Amino acid sequence: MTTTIHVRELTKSFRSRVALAGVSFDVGPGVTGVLGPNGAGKTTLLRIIATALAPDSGEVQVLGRRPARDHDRLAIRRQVGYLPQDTGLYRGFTAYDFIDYVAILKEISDPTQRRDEVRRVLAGVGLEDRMHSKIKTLSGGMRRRVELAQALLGAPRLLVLDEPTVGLDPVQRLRFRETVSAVASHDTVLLSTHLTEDVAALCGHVIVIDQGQVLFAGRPSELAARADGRVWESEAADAGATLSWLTGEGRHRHIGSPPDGAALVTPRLEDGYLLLTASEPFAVTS
Amino acid sequence: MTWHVDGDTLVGYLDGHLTEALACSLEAHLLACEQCRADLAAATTVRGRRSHERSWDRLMDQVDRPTGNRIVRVLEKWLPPHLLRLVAAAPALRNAACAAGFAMLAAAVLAANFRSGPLGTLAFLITAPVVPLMGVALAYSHPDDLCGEVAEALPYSRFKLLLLRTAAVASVTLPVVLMLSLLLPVDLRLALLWLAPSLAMCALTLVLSPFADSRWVAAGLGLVWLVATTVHLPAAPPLPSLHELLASEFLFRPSGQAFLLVVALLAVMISAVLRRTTFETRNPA
Repeated sequence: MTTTIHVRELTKSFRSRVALAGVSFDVGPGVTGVLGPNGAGKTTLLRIIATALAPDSGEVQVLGRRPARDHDRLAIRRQVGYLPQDTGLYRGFTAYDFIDYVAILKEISDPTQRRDEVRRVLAGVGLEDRMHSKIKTLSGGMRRRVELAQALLGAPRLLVLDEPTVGLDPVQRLRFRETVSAVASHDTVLLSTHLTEDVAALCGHVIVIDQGQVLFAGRPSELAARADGRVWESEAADAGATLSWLTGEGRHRHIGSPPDGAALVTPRLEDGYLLLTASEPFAVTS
Repeated sequence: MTWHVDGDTLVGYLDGHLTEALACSLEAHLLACEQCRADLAAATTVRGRRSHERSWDRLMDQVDRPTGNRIVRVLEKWLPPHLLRLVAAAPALRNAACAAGFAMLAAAVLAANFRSGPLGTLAFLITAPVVPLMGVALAYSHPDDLCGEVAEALPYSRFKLLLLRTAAVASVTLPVVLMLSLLLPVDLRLALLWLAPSLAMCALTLVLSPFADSRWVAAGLGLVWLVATTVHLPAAPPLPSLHELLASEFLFRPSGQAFLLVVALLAVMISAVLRRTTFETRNPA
């Protein structure tokens, strides 16, 4: 596998809070999902890979270059599209103005080339009809698409997307998946999410991170297989399960060590993820 | 047919630059020469396409023109479009903030002209440096204001962007303050005593911008300036003359002015030296 991102023993702390505690993994072409609960360290990890933040220690290589070196960092920035959680849109700008502004910061200085590129990415996220609308008049989902459009500028070799589907409705999420799939067919996409359905729908590779540590790195099917023989359903709640909840069909679904005679079911991706991250037994009843 | 019309002549014909005799001769030749007719058709197509592209570019430039307030439209005359776009993003170009500052200065000028005593001129010299400083601080708004975290991971030099914004704000505010200072009823040397502290405080705000919120830095510097320049003022009349008042404050004396200019120069030099390590990454490796 060609390695786009190489991370070894990465650490980062904010005062006394440890965000990353010795993270190691490799990422190749295609879509890789970074899955983890809120506060797991996903955003810190993505900021470091996008060169927006420097680690305390450890080794990072992005597209074969080290962000710690000035000239390498600049080269990485020219080839990476980054969508942070909070972009800081200029609300008084139109969508076109904003993307044009970012295009200038991405060093696309030729006016004709820049105009074509801005229109291309806005069309790519389905905003060609609203490109001259002020950002403050756009819906939350449209704003997120404007933010995604800036990440697509310049056809980057690596897309780093932090919680890209937050605020998108199901149709917009589908469009987003189409856009990302098109990019990932020839480049690398690293996206963080806490939604297992995003990973199941998009990712060929998944990294589960919690409390600043990598708990799993592999294919989504392998993550689901972690829960083989550990998921069962019953009519009543089971106090012995690590995790238990009432499904829409009125049955209780359990994860943990099944009792004798339990009706085992085929695990899904979220079962493997929940089994990995649920350290204490707890039950969800609604 | 043993000769053909060259490309320049065909373009001259299409542009209507040939003499009548030469044009008639060329047209007679075209009637008999298939190759030259083909060349003329090709030249017409290329020329037409170029003309169409130029028109389209002009139209698109007009459609995609940066939106902005009156100050942005004034700057449009001097700045290339890509720099204008970068400047237009600066919240500093808010009319209200600048107008408030200018109104304050205009009041000081009026006071200096219509009220006896040195207080009006002194008020102008004390408040004038704060106006460009206020504009520069608003140009950054907050440390992430260069497009939030996106800008942290973009190749464009953060230092260059900060410098551009500072220059844009200065180019708007300084000439106005300068014109107002010419209205003061004192000689030019005294009327320009606000310039050195203004440059020093703007440069200090620039150099400190990677470390702290620029608004707080500017507020702090402005406050220090106001305290330093008013603390020596007598609490009650009679007031001494303007010259005596200015001489009592170090920052208005020639040595103080030279000190402030050195501070401004040093701040810019330090910014330039630190631009890679400090400005381009908020948390260097």
